[in-house]
Formats: sequence, structure tokens, C-alpha cells
Amino acid sequence: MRYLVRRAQRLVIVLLAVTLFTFLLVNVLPGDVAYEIAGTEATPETVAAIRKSLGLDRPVLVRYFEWLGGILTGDWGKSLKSSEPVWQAIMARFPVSFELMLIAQTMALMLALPLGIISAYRAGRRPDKVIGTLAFMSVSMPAFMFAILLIFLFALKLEWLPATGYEPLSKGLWANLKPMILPALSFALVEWTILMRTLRAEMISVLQEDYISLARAKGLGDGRILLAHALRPSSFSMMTLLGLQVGRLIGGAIIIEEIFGIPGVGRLLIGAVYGRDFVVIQGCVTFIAIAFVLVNFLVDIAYSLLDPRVRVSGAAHG
Amino acid sequence: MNRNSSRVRARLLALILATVLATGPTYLAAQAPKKGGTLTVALETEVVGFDAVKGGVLGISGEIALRAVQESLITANQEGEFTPQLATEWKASADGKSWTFKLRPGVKFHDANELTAEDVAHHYNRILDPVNKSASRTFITPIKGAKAIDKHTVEFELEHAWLPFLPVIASTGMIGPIPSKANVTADKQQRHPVGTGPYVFQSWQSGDRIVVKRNPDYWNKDHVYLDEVVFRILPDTQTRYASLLSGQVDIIWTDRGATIHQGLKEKSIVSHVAEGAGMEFTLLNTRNEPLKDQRVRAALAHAYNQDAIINVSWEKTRPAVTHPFGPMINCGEVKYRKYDPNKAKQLLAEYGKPVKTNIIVTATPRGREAGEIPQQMFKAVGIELEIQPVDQVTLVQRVLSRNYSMSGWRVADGLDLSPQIYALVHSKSSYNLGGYSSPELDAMADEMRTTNDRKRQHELLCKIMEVVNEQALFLYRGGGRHYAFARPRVKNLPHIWRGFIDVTSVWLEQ
Amino acid sequence: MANAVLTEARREADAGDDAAARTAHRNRTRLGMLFWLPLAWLALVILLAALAPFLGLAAPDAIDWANIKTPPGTEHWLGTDVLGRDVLSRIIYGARVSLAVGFAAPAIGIAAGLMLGISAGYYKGWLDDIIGIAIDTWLAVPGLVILLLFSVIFGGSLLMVCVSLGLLFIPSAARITRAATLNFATREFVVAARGMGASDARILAREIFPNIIWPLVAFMLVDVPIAIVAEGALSFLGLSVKSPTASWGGLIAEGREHLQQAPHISLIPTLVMFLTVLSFNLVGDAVRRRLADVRESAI
Repeated sequence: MRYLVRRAQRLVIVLLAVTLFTFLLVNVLPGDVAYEIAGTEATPETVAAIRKSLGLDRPVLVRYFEWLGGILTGDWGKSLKSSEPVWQAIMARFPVSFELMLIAQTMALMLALPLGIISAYRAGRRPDKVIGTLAFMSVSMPAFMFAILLIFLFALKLEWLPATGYEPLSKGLWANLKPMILPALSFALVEWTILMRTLRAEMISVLQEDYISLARAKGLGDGRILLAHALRPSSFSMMTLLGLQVGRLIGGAIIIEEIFGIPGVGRLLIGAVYGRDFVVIQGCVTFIAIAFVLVNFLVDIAYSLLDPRVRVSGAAHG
Repeated sequence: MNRNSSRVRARLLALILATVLATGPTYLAAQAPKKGGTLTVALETEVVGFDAVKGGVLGISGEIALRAVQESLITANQEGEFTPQLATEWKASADGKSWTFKLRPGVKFHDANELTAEDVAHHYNRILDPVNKSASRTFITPIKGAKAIDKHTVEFELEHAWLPFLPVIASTGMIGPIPSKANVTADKQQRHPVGTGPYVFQSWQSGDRIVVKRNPDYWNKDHVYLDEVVFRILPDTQTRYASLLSGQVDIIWTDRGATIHQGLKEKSIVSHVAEGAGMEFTLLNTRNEPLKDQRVRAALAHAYNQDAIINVSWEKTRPAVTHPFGPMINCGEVKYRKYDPNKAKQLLAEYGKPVKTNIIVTATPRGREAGEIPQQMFKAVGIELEIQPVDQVTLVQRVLSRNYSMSGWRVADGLDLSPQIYALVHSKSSYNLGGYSSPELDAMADEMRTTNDRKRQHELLCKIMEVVNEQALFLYRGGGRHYAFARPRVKNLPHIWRGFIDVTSVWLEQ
Repeated sequence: MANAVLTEARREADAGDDAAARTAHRNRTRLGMLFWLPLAWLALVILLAALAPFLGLAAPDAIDWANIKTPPGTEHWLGTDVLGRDVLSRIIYGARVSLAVGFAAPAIGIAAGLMLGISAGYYKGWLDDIIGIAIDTWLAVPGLVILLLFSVIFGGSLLMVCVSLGLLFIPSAARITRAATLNFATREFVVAARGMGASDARILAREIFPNIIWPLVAFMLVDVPIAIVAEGALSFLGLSVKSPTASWGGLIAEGREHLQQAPHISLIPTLVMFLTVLSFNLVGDAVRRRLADVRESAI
């Protein structure tokens, strides 16, 4: 319990540090949003006036604490460029990014599970080596290159799947899922490798446990042993990893979102950086940091709760 | 028997006649526009906002979306002919310093308020008020103000007779289209424009799409066919094109040579091409060494090969130009400095010192090529060019704060380019980004601005460009030619003059 | 602690490989084709990159006006790109960037992470807390955002790319070092050394450091290909070295528009990058296994 309280304290400090660091960094950026608003036909006076009206001529720390005060009362501010409330902008995009991540991880899981089981089952032999080499090849190709090749093949040449990644759910479930296939696949083709290796490692050690030998001696078929007895205890680390990756990827989907035109948090962030929309940058980074830190925290709790049980059950069979 | 047969014949005739009359219109209707459907247009850039003061400059993407929702007093076509839209009549005073417009009665905004002269006057005065620092004000300073004379009459007062006036009123940027005054004063216009147009603004998911729905109370409703128009924001050229082919969007615009050639060859889509005015160019900052020296600038111009750039970067999808006026004005060569590396070397030898300068470009394919190609051209004559890639915001900031030596820039296409030219060359203009001025140029610019004679205006514009070319203030990167591609089911898309996609009277073949 | 799971996962996966090898009773110390072939490729790439200026290649930024987007042929062995520049030359010069970043960035990250981790694990107390918070903070900010911001602020130079990518490798290196330091700091020989009056620095250098070098080397082997891919992503977005300096990601990005008519512009750099990263992964894997054997037999 005390451990959790200490972790929670640390969480808060980390979040504060993240927001301060980002704020300071963003303020070092050359140029500012007034130029973006003014556009190519603006004059220096227009720009100066816009800056003043947005309060950008005040000292950095003053603005930081003002922003912080706002966040603590639930006001994430308004985009300097479009006056859209930041919270609204993020909330409109977050489900899209999250959905993409979920689908990507599901696909990665669908690849990692069977391949991981086979590798563990036939550890050290040909199928394992083939899958291992395949995994290396998969992880050696960056996600954005997968994306380009997939678009080229499936959208341009075969015309089976659309090239842009987003249709709202209001148009129907399949209409919403179909454009997500290629972007999710671009991720999944890289992500599955680490999931597979984790599963494989744990399953190999589980398969050496006594109760597995016992099951075999009892005459149970290999398939049944693998799926019914070995899989669940082996998947703990993999599932933990899965959860952590989702938290990490929400901020990291920027390139894929750009290529496929997906209105997610990543694109909002990158647009804000290019446009020096400080309030939006702050909001996005804070949001992503909170999501990331929270996911880690939850996994921490789960880990510490389940861990002793795993230890105990391991000892019982050991 | 006879009387019976004649009666039968009469009835038969009547039947035949009735059938013909009934099917006639149906036959004609098969060629007529079909109502209904959703049109999807792909835009290249995000829109900042639709408020004339807060929204900055409305790029072509914003213009296309706004046109569906708001209308101007008059419309213009490429030939310079003006047709009534929200105004039914207009005339100028004898000295050209005052214009009066009569508004169409009974037109309603989407917020149910009636269109009155007050809406028009309020809109223009707001832009013109120096306190508001509207980005749109720079080019329309000759307009002093607008006044509502009565409910349906607006009067504009000008500093002097001004030839670009009607084109400005007809424009489709921030200035021309009239918003509802109530909406503007309620400060909602930026994210939710309200106009009188054929489509009503529904929703805007930033970075994703803007949706508009048919206006059932439109004053000209017989010419509106679609149920809904969706403007999707797809900055990536490849994605945009692939979306067109896969049917996710109906119309796209692009200026990238590779995509244009693919599109022109692709049989499953329809190409729309429009010649025009305007141009892309590289701006030279004459305040910086060594560009201060005219010989250096001239050397750069002679080392520079516009045709090669058009071949390689634009893949021949644009014309090479010697001035920005396109086919509208025939200025001729106007002392354009042709590609001549030997002459460049000569001038450099005269100058005597080694020349080293830099260019800022955006980190996009267009931008990179705009730097890399000239870099090689200048290297061939011994000039060193450093490329500084920055993002769009920084580029604009550096140019406006004169913190650059060379930069990409453009003159937007339109009916009358004189306001832009004036702003670029006049000594008193805060938009004189190149920093060059001379009494001779000022005199020409002032006369050009105040003359009421179109021919004289054209003459002076050409003369100004002659000075510009002689002084080597710009390096040209191709003139105006616009491309759009559409799916075959899109009908009634008008000529994409200025690269502008007008969706207001489009219908879909279902 | 959950992030320890991440690093634990990686190490367990590696341990699982070793266990698998044991299970199969294979002679795991034999370095097969999956080691020599990739090594040969890497040797070729590194050699060409190092000797680039002396190979008589066309200048990587020289425009051949007559040959725009031409496919591989006798004049230009791998063809020309969208601006008529020799693709072979650009790939080799791009290799210089990728390899420089690939080695320098993890080195910087590991060096910095090492110092932080050792300090945290050895001195513990408030120093450990502060370093821990700093690392958590660093992890919570999305990496690409940092890279983006750095690139815009400091401009696009090779040094900036190496440093900013290097910074991203610090957290895991620090974590591993800290854990290993904590582990070893309580061992008898360290306690004994301190008892004999050895200074902190000496203990750190003599006793602690040699024992943590192994996990760090393993780390380095994994991080090099990651750094190369990361640089590829950065240059794809245009955030790496300034043009016209060639970089693999930049070449891929430039060729994207021309996939239909001139696929070689994107696909050849993609293939080269893929083979290089794959080779690093395979070689690193084989080396790691070999070292694991050596380590085990040593203990």
C-alpha cells in the first residue's frame, strides 16, 4: 500500500516535470503562431498585434503557471490558431488513435500467438529458426515503409483497400474498420515480433515444468497441452507488454497518421508543432504523458498484485 | 360506322398526343441534373478559421470550403465579366470614387436573419479598420469604407478610382463572401461560418473534415442538387491521389508533376486543366549582402534556368513566364534575363568578390527542389548557395521580418493582380518584401493604382515588371496552370479558373 | 517498475533463445550462414561508406540534366533520382549518415545512461530518486515530439541528430546499469574493497564497471539497428540532416511520389536499409549468443 502511495506521488511529480519541460522547450522554438495565423500576405504590424492579443508577449513562467492553473481546474485552454478548445480537440481525436492502436495490437497478437506457440513447441528446430528469421526481417523494416508498400500494393495496384485511414463510425462498422486495416497492419507487422519473442521465451520455460511432463505422461495430446495448459501461464509477460505498448504507441503513431491521413492525436500534435500552437502542444503532450504514466501505473499495480501469485504457483510446480 | 371510327381516331390521336407530351419531358429529364448524393472534395491544407479578422489569410482550401457556405455580392469569370449574386445592380460614380450596390431582397442567412446592407457594410468596415489588423486589409487600402444607405443599398467610398475594385468585391477569399453580422459579432464565425450560400455549415473536425448540408431555403434553390458536401483534409499528395482512385474522394487538386501526369493518363478519372496568371518565384532580399549589388542579382538570374526547373521540378506541367500576368496581359519579354551562364560568370568577374548566399525553403518535396536545383545551377558558375530548410511558419516569419536572403514565394492567381504588384514594389508598402524601391518605380506604381484606364494600367504593370526584371528582383519558377481531377460521376464542375473548385452547382451521376 | 518488465522481456526473450538452444542440443557456438552473410554485407556497406570520397563516384548532389528518373543502366548503375542525381552515390553517402548515427547515438545514450545508472545504483538515496524522476519524465514525453522539437530548434546537422537520438537511448541504459549496479554493489567483494579503504571511484572502476559491461554490450547490439531505423524515420519526415545531404530515409521519401513510374528511386534505398538493419540484427543476435556462452562457461 505504501508502495502504491509513493508511486502515485512520483507520478504527480513526473507529470509536472513533463509539462514544465515541454513548455520551456516549446518556447525556445523559433517563430510563433502569430505568423501562422497571419499567413503569407501579412505585415509585421498584423503579426505583432496578433501576438499581443494572444498574450504571447508575457514572460514564460507566468504563462506556464497560468496554463497549469487552468489544467488543474479542467480548462485545457483554446487553440491559439483556431480557438477550438484543446480538450475538445484531443477528445475528438483520441478515440481514433486508440482504435488504431487496438486494431494494430490485435493484429500483432493474431500473428504473435500462433507463431510464438509454434516456436516454443519446436524450439531450436527448423520451424523455430524460420519464424525467428522472419521476425528479424519484420522488425528490420520500418513501419512507414510497410505503410508505403501496402498502399502501393493494396490501394493503388489491386484497389482492394482504401488509401486513407479514417471514416467515422456513423457510416457503419465495416466502413469504419475497412480503412484502418492498412495502417494497423503497418504497425502490426513490426509489433508482433517482440510479442512473439516474449511469449516464446516464457512458454519454453513453462514447457519444462513438471506439470507439463505429467500431462504428457497422462497421455494428453500436444495440442491440448499447448493451448489448454501451457498458454495461459506463458502469456503473462506478453499481455503486460501488450498493454504497455498501447500506452507507448498513442504518441508514436505520428508518421502512420500522416501517411494515411488519420485524424489522430499524433497528427494534431505534429500540426501544432509546425504551427507553433503552444497551447495545443502542451495539451497533447500532457495528455499523452498522462495516458502513458497511467497505463504504466495500472500495469504496476496489476503486476504487484499478481506477481506473488505467479511466484507461489511457480514454486508449487517447481 | 364512320362517325364512330372518326371518334375512335380522335381518341387515338388524343392518346398519342398525351403520351408524347408525357414522355417528352421525361426524355429531357434524363439529361437533367439528378438531385441527391454526397460529394467529397480533398483539400490540401487545414483551414485556420473563417473569421475575416481572426482567420488570417484564407488559402485556396479555405476558399473552396467557404464558397459553398457564403456568397459575394457579385461573381466574376475569367473574361472579367461580372454577374449578379447577392447584389442585383451596381454602379460607380463619375469620378470612380464611389460605388453603389443594390442588394437582392428576401435573401436569408442560415441563421434566419435577412441579408441587409448592414451585414455588408459591417463586414467590410471590420476588415478595413486598422485597429483590427486584419491580414486582408493590406491589399484593399484604397477602399475607405462602406455605408448602409438603406436596407438594400450599400455605398463604398474609395480614395480614388480603383480598377481592381470590382474584382475584389467578387473575390472568394476572406474579403468577398459576406457573413452574417449576427454570427460575426457573436464571435462564432471563426469555427462556424454562417452565410447565404447553397450549403449550410454542419461540422468541422479539425484536421479531418468540414461537412456542409444542402440549404433548403436557398434563394436560388433550383440550382442546388447535392444533399451534402464533405471537404476532407489530406495534405499528403500520394494519399490524396490514391483516395481518388479508390473512390473515397470525388475531386482532388494537385500541383505535383508526377501525380499530374499519372492523373492525365488515368482513364478512370476526368482531368480538369486551367491556364491562368500568377506565379511561383524566388524572392531576393536586396537589403542583404551580396544581393545588394545589382550585378550579383543579375548573375544569379542568368545562372538560373527556369526551363530546367519546369522540366525537372514541375515536370513540364506549367509554362515558363517572364511576368506574372499570364494570358491576361501580353507584356512580352520585358527584359527577362535569360539563362546565360557565361554572362553570369562575366558579371561575377566584374563584381570581383566570391559570392555566397542562402535560401530558405519548406521541408516538402516542392521546397527541397526549390533549393537543390538552383544550388547546382549556381555552383556551375561559382556561386555558393546554402539551403536552410524550415517549416512554413518559420519561412513566413523570416520573410516578413526580412531575416532572409532568398526565399520561395508566390503571386496568387486572380482577375487583377495589381494590388499584389503594388504592395511588392512600392516604397511605402510594408509588404515590399524584397526591399527594393526607387522613385521611378513608385511613380509608376502610384499611377498604375489610380488610373481608371485599363489599358494604361496594363502598360504600367508591364513597365513595372521590366524594372523588376532588369534589377533581377525575382527568379521565376513557372506561371499559372491549375489541375484538378474528378471521378466521372461528378457533373457540372465549372472551369477551375485560378485553381478554384466551385462545388455549388455540381451534381452526381448516381 | 513496469518498464523493467519491458527490458526484462527483452532479456528473457534472449534467455529463451539460449534455453531453446539448450533444449535442442544443437551446437550453439557454431556461427552459421546467418552470421557470416550479414557480416559480409555490413563489411561491404561500412567499407564503401568509409571510402566514399575515393571511389570515383558521381557527386551525390550533382544533377545530370539529361538523365532524370532513369532506371538502372550502364551510365548510372542504380539509376538516377527525381533530380537526376546518381542513386548509387547517394545511397553510399547516405550510408555514412546512417552508420554514423547508428553507432554514435546509442554510444552517446549508453555513455550518459551508464553514468546516471551507476550513480543512481551506487549512491542511492535522493540522487537515485531524482535520476529516477528525470528518467520517468523523459520516457513520458513522446520520442518523436522531442526529435521534432530539437530538429526545429537546433536545425538539421548530423551532430544534432546523433545527440537527440542518443538522448532517447538513455532511459533503458540507465535502468539496466542501475539494476546491475544495485545487484553488484552489495556483493562481498565490493564490501570487502570498501572495507580495505578503496575510494568510490576505484570501486566503481575496478569492481562494478567490468560486471555491467556485458549487459551494455548486449544493449548496444540491439540499439544500433533501432537507431538506424529511427534515423530513417526522421529523414523520411525531413527532420534529419539538411538536404542536399543524402540520407536513406530522405531518398525513400523523395521517391514516394514516383512509385508508379520510377519505383527504383524508393525501392533500392529501402532494400539497402532493410538488408543493413537486418544484418545488424542477425549479427548482433549471433554475437550475443556467443557472448552468453562465454559468460556462462566463465561463471
